[in-house]
Amino acid sequence: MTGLPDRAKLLRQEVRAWLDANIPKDWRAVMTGCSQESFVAAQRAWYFKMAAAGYATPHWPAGWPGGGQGLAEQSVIYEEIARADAPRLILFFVSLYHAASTLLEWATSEQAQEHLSGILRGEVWCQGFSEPNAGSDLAALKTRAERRGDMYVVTGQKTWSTMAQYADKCLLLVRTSSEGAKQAGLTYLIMDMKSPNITVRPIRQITGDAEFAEIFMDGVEIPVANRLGEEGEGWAVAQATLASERGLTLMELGRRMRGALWRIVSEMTVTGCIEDTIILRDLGRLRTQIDALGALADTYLRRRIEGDERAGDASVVKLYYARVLRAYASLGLRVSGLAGQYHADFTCGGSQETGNWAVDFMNSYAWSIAGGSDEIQRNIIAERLLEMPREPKAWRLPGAVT
Amino acid sequence: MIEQSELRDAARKLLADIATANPDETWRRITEAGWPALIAPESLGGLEQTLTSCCWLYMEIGAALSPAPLVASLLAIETISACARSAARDVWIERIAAGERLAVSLLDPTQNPGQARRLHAVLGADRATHALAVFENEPLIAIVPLGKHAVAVALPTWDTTRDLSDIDLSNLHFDGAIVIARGAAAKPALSAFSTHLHVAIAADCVGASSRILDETVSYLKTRRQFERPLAMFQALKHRCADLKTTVLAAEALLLEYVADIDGSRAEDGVLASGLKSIASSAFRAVAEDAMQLHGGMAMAAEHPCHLYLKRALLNEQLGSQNDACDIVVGRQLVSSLAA
Repeated sequence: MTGLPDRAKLLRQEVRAWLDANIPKDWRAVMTGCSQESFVAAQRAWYFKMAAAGYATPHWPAGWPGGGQGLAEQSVIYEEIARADAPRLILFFVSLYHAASTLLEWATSEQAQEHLSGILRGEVWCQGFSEPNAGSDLAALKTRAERRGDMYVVTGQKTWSTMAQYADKCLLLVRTSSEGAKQAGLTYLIMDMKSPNITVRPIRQITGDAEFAEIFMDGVEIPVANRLGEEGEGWAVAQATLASERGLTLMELGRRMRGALWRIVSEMTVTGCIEDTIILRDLGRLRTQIDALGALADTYLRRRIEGDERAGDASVVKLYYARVLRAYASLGLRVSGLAGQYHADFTCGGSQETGNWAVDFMNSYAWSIAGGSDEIQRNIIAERLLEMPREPKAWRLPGAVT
Repeated sequence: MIEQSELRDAARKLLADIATANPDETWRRITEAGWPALIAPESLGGLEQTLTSCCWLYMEIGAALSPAPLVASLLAIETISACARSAARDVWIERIAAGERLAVSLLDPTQNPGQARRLHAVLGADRATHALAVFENEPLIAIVPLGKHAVAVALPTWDTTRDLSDIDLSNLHFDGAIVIARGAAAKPALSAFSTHLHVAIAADCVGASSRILDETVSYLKTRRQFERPLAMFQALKHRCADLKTTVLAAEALLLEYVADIDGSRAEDGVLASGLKSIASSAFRAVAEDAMQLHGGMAMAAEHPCHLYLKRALLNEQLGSQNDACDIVVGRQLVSSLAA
């Protein structure tokens, strides 16, 4: 371990200098209340800069730009990005994490080469998992894929798909069979969003933003070559996608939250409560929780790297992140007082911590609902980690005739 | 280097073996196992192990609700090791490492302003001939003889798993014979004391809360009502999942923090305060819910549930009180951002 502090220090200086020289000036002002076109253009420009410097993919394996970094190095990079208040690569979030992790675990080497290179060239990916009647009960999804020769023909509807309106590719979970257990009939496909017969409709959110969308598919053709895993193996492949969201992404997001603590302190200065002991106590408590979140994410990743990951570990990290993020936004909102209740435009690409406290607070629900709600994570933790029994599956209305 | 998992397994076995032993027998077995010598230098009869090793023992002691005053010995060694070398200091390290008991206050010295000559919440006074005195307002580290001028008064606490006393030192003359360090020279020892104390309480809390949560989950799996195990009810499963998450977060922070100290990557005593607060809040939350989830059983003295609750409540008050810990962390954050 000797020399590590020095290496980390050097890396920190290098990242800091690079960020100082490269962060788009006044991006927050430009991205507040802006058009979708300028949001996408700004995200692309920032992504290409970050990717070229290797700071977009430090969590990818060695051999890819900037890849193969250890936990300590990744941590430094994410902290510096947060501290420098750089735009978050929200347009590429699914590409960099969900897609990459799933590909690295399940793709053939040709598939991985093709799609990871595509991501580095700027492909935007989205995730087509949830459906109007398959949310927490994801395996109940109904979007149907029928095999015709070397094609699957897909018909159905997906929803809550982040950035789908800008996406080039979609991680699509479909039903290929209705026989047996509902999980056993699922297959995982990569859908080209430019294919015919796809309609995407953005969903207006409570913050005014439209980060996610519905996807309607009416006979979309997807080559069999774009399948990950075997037919019927979709549920297992989907776990890789979900696990990346529950564990891997939270290393970065936890560091960002730590790096964004200054926003609350600066709000305290503005509202004159910098000496308020109750606020100072709650600020201190939050800071320790953010440190614990960082330690929890690190422990998870270490276990994962060493092959010691237990079912439920990733859920613990996600549940804790959602809890701490809510506490962060909530404290900011509290400190901002009445001023926090006046409407102010949201900032595109501003991450979870923008200092627009009402928006941040509302957005924090995305993390306790999306990617498996807190309630689903608690089920997983209770049943897998604590080995508590599942509820009986059979259920009928009282008095119903069987 | 002792393997952590071996140390932990051995500790668990030993503590189970001596669960019903009397205090002298308990201490004899613990000394035999070399625990008081854990962090002392080899030249003084020690094992030169890490703070992480201490934590594994503290966690097991917490889990077992053990009365063993190991923390008093290790705190004393940690504290006087941070003082300048002297013959008196080295002799004491050797004696403590070999198993001689020392009475040590489990309060952070910063929590005792203006009462410089009194020690509160002292562990191990019943079998000790000397006490470690750590004072902050006139920085001072001393090892004082107990007796006519320094009488330990046992003060029974609701937590019966440990014996605490108060010691009045106002009649004692702090001369060169008992003072180990004074003034600026005592400052590093003060912060070493504070950090080790907070880490030790945090580890006690993490170990104890993991154990009582495990016990609670096992109980819910066994206890049947409405023709099914209680563990099948989502209302109870979700509470257990939340508690598990809370405990794992505190444990992760504890182990990362001590690994950083062992690797000389951090020596921030303020973070140790935060750690103590988050871990003892977690312990209290788990102990409270353990009571509720055990139902009527929890109100019966023969069931150990209440012992965890009482230990948790006392732990909140030891070291620095939780609110004070959090305020210190908050202030440090504000000033670091102003810099």
